[in-house]
Parts: sequence; C-alpha cells; structure tokens
Amino acid sequence: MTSLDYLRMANARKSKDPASFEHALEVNLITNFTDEVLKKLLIGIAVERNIFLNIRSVPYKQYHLYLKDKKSALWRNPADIIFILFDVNPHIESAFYPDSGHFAEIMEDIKTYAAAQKGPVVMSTFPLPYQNSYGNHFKEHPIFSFVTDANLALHDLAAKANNLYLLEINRLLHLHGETNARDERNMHAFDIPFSSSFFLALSREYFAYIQALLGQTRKCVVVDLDGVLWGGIVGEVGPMGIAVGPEYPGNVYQNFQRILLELRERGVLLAVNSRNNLQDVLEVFRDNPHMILREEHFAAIRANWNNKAQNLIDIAKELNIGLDHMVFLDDDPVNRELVKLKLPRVLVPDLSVSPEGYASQLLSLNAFTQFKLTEEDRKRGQMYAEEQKRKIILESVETIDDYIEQLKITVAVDCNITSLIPRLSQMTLKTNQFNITTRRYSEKNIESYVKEGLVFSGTISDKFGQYGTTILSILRPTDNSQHMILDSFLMSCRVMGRGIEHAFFNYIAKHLASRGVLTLEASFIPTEKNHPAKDFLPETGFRKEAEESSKILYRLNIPEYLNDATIKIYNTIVVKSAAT
Amino acid sequence: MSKLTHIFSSVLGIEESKIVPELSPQNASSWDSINAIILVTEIEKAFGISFTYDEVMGVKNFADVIRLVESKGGDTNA
Repeated sequence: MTSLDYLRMANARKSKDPASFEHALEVNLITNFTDEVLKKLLIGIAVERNIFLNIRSVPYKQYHLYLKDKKSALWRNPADIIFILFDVNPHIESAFYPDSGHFAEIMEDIKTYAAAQKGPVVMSTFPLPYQNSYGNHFKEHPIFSFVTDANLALHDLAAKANNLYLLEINRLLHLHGETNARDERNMHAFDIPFSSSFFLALSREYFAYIQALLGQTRKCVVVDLDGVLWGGIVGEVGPMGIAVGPEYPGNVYQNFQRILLELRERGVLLAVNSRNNLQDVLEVFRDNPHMILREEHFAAIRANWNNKAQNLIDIAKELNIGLDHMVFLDDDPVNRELVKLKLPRVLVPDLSVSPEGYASQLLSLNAFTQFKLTEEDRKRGQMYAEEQKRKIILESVETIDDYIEQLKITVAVDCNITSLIPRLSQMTLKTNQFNITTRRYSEKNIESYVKEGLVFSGTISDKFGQYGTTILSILRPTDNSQHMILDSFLMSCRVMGRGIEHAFFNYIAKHLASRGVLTLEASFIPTEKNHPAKDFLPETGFRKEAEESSKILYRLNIPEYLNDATIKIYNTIVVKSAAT
Repeated sequence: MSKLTHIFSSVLGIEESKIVPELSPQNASSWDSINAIILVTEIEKAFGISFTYDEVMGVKNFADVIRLVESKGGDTNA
C-alpha cells in the first residue's frame, strides 16, 4: 500500500458511518508544523484495519496556547490517545531553537497536560540533524547539542510520568535516511517539513501504538521450518543435512533464528507450524549443533501433515491467544494464501524474498509495538516453555497420580508473613475459579487476619519452574480456642488439577491439631465461576451441616480427618515450611 | 485511466470519470490548498519530476497540470 492508496481510503471514509467500524477512537495530534498529510495518512491506515479515528489537531502554530489553555479543545475533549511531535531542524528557525527557553516552557506544559490525560501520551523525541553545516563535526553544531540535551530531558520526563511514552523518531529517520525523510521545498513553502514517504512511515508507527492500545499487538510468531528456519527439506536431506551453520547460506538462517530468539526474549512467543514428521523436527532441534533455536524456545510445536490453518487454530487455542495476535511466516506462497483466506486475522507477511530479507520483512511490520517492556514480558517465553514440558509429561502418563509424582511439586508454606500481604490481597481480588468463598480483601483486611488469625500461603514450584505464591487459606479464630473458621481457601488456576489443594490443606490440618484446634467450620458460596472449588470441602471430609440459599455450611473434625485413610492427601507433593 | 487521473481521483476523492480538463479548485471543493500540495507531491513522485513554487501556484485546472507534466517530459497517457 502506498501513500496514495491510504489517501484514497481516507477519502472513501467520508461516506461511512463511524459506528460501522470495529473500533472508533478519539485522537489528539499536537505538532508545530502543517500536519494535514500525517493526519490523512493515519486515517487511511486505520480505515484499512477497520478502525475509525477522529483526529483532533491544533490550529497551525497554536500548540503552546492550546497546551496551556485548559478551556482549549485539547483539554476539553478527552482523547483515547495523544500524539505529540515537534520538529526542529537546521534549515529553518523555530521557536525551539536557538532560544531554548521555549523548550523549557513546553516541557512544563506537556507535564501538566499528560498528567491530566486518561489516555496514553506518545511524544516523539526531537529529530537529530545530522545534515548540518559542520559536516563531519556535526556533533559540535549547537542545534545538535540542543536536540541531544532536549531528548535526554524528555527521557527523564517520560520516566517520571506514568502515561507519557517516547516515540524514538531518530530510529525511524535512520531507517528512512534523513535526506529521504525531508522535503525541502514543502518545508520552506508550506511548513511541511517531511516527505510523504516519511509521513507514511511515521503514521504506521503511530498506528502501531493505536493497535497496542486496542490489544492488537502480535504476541506470537508462528514459523514454518523448511526454507524458513533452515535451507532444504529435512524430510529429504535429514536433520544433519539441512542448511544451517556458520557458512553461507547456513549463516543466513542462523542469523534469522537469532532475531527470532531476540523477539522471544522481549516477550513474543514462538511456535512451529510445519508439514514434516515430528521426529525429524525434534531431531533437528535436539541434535543439530548449528541450530540457534531449540525445542525449549517454542511455546507450541505442530509438525504434522494437517492443514496449516487448522494447526494455527490449534496453536492459538493451546496458547490461549487470539488469531489476531499471531504472525505466520511461511516461504510457500500457497500456504500463505491459504492462511490469509481462511484466517484473515492472522498477519501473514510476504516472504517471497530471499532468506536474507526475512528479518527485515518481519521487523518492518511494526507488529510488536508495546508502550513498555516489563519484567513479565521477558519471562513469558520461559513460563510457556515450562508449561509445554508439563504437557508432554501429562500426555505420556497413565494416571493423574503419575503425572503429579513426575512433576515433583514442592509447596513452601508461609504463615502470617507481612511481606506477602500485597500478593495475598491481589490473589483474593483475582481468583475466581478455585475459591470457596470468593471474599475480596484489601491489604488492610489481610493485615488484620494476620494479626488475629492464621493466614497460610503456599509458594509452588515443580521440576520445570516456579509458579510463585498461588495458594492461600485464611483461618479466623472463634471464642472457643478449639474451633476455627476457614474463611477463605483459594488457588490460582495455573496450579489447579495437581492435587496441591489437598496436600496444602493436610499441612494446615496438622498444624491446627498441634495447636489443639479440633473442629473447623467452612462454607461454600457458589458463584458463576467457582464450580471447580465445589467439591473440595466434601472431598476433604467436611460434613454438610446446613444449606442456605446463598451458601452451604460445612464442619470438619480435624483428628478424624487426620486418621481417615480414605482421604487422599497426595504424599508425592512435598509440603514444607518456607522458613526451613 | 491514466496515472495522473488516478492521482487526482485518490487525493481529491472524486470518481475517475469526473476528472476532466476543466476540473479546478473552483468546481471541486476537495481541491483545497492542502490537497493541492499533496497532488503536487504525488505527481512529482509518480513521474520522477519536480516543480518550482511558481509552477505549483500557476496551476488553475486539470488541463494546466497535464501541460505542466508534459513540459517536464512526463507521459500523461501512462
């Protein structure tokens, strides 16, 4: 698609009802130049993806008045997202340069404005003018140092504000080439300082933020194997005969694998969708010494003779992501067309280039734009890989007991630890399925239970990794020291189905018995979602006492429970005090 | 349909059949000052030519554009 195509789409939009689009968003655009071209292109790009943008820009050169004036359209109309771009260049004078007073003032205005916005504010850094009169000594040109310092100040500002994000325009300018990005006639004659091709690149970048806002950022790259991760057909040349290695063309594939691995490290999942025998594929991943990507780097592997569209549906289901979160890479145009036709929500880039071009094709999609990279993103690939290994065991064992035994689960139990209070409160707020009472507690509430009662929590791990603190039980005292109330008992869904609740409860019961507690009272409060917790109390030996409209009351005799050999407690799970 | 007609149609949002020599800022409301600049930029890109400010400002209708492009060696039938 060219800029002309997008202009056509933007024009065609005029006859359509905003409500007929999948999404409609309000956008504020703040610049110091004539920004109509940028605006039209952004509208056109959004139309292509079925999004209606109502872009409100400020009148020419009035950005400083609009930013300050709380009665201006910028302040009065809340936007879903705000884009700010101020151009500084050595060709024409601007308010920003050479007088730096304006910048200091604008920084304050932006800080105030951003803090008042609900939507994210995406501010561009200033373009670095490499092409200036100092030639090779460009860094010594005062405008270059002004921009460098201003950008550092912007980074400081963004780090302190919680909804101000920086768009690194110099990355874009670098990719585009500064001379290609500038339009000197339009800059001087009409104050349109960039070429239409650069505006198009910038609009795509803006649109990627809009997609991030709508949760449309791609989360998973699904790759075909033969001709994508390596050269040759593994089924024909064998796991050691494929082209991957330090020599050309094998190095092309190695380097592409490195790029994919980097994507995984920033939180993008990888998966395989290939028409091959699984055994051949696993042999490559396990035994070919030149492979950069290994089995554990993939969150899902489909190497079979099924239709590739069906495999993509299965992978999406397995990873619990949408098809609109997937990118599919295949060198075979027939497969690409099949997927595009059957699954239009999957992003299928054109790989009809030589393998050297795969990486730039993939990275130029702007498909992975996020407002911020978090610690959670960096760990994501690892967590999915652990889950993958668990699934392989689950498929290979006869009984669930064998599965639990093979996982080698450990529950480290904490009791009344104040440093865990924020996490425990969060668990009561977020856990809906395995939760007998679904009582939501603030940190303050949990704190009072820690003081007056017993708050047990378990931090769970198995041979593949950590699940974190994912099980919780709150016990309240009564006037009778031999009797307590099981106020809450809950567990995250990611650790369900492994018998952990029984092992954890058994530990608690023993602890209570040692303190002389003989009976425990509990209730099950049914909700729309807590069906998985329904049988926990009766299975554990609690006897039904009464049934009310909103809950079922139970009671447990602890010594009887501890002596009852028929109650399953999952001895293969190690439950120990976290302190030891 | 020529390249030039396609550009005018896309930028101005007017059907290609209505891009006639008499088309001008006076009779096409979408031919405003911004679209005039976009038209020039797109024509320059498509034909690999460039215009001076005076040439841009001298354009009164579509016929002028055809003449101008041809004077720069652009093939308006392409």
